[in-house]
Amino acid sequence: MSAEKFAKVMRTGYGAIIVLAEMTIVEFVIAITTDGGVLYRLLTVIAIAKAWIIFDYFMHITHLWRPEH
Amino acid sequence: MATAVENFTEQVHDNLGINRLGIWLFFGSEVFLFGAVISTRYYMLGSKTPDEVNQVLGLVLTALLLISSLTAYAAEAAAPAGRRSLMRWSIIATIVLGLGFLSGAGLEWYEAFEHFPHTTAYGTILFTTTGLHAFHLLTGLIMLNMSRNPNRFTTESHWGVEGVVKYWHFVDIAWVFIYPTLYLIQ
Repeated sequence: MSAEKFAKVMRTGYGAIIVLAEMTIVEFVIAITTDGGVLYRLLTVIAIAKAWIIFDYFMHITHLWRPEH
Repeated sequence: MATAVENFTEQVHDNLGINRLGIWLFFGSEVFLFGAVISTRYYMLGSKTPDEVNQVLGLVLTALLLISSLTAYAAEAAAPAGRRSLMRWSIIATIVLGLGFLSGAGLEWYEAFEHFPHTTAYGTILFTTTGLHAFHLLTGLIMLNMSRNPNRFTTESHWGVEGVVKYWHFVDIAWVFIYPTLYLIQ
């Protein structure tokens, strides 16, 4: 892996972690300001979105159906 | 002379695609395990969460695990780039953050014994769910420790690091669902 590609991979990681941190803060604020059925739905959507970011950007699930590298 | 079985075994062991598929199938089976304990919480308690739950501690634990995902990611990226020192130190940082998480979980249990005895529904769910997760995290720490020697991997062959980092990320994903389930729902 070239230095340029490595830098690009790391930038992707930093971007993903910033988005995850922001979503976690939003999740926390929503939880202390909302309740009832709306809270269920919002927290579920946020958790699924966070999981997908980790699946895609950190765990590279899409590599399963791409040629090996 | 290599036998057909030996050839096949070598082929399979060298096949990165099969390794990746295998670990994803393992994650699939783990989803059922975590799904069962998480759904038990909603079945037994609905949206009821005791006031004594330490939401700040839950947030700190989440932050530790998220940051450890970045350091684990850096270790995985460093391996094919031949950055051995970065790989080693990223794994060590991940282990330290994981130990921080376990310490926080220990504090959570210390508080939980006082507020939610295991005889209560919430106590049962809390100890089962966090205990299951902490055990997975502990096994991840052991595997990370086994993988921290960069001399065991090359830029072309580093499945050991990739596999353990994937497992670490999965433990993080499990927490992504456990965190709102135990701390935020009300």
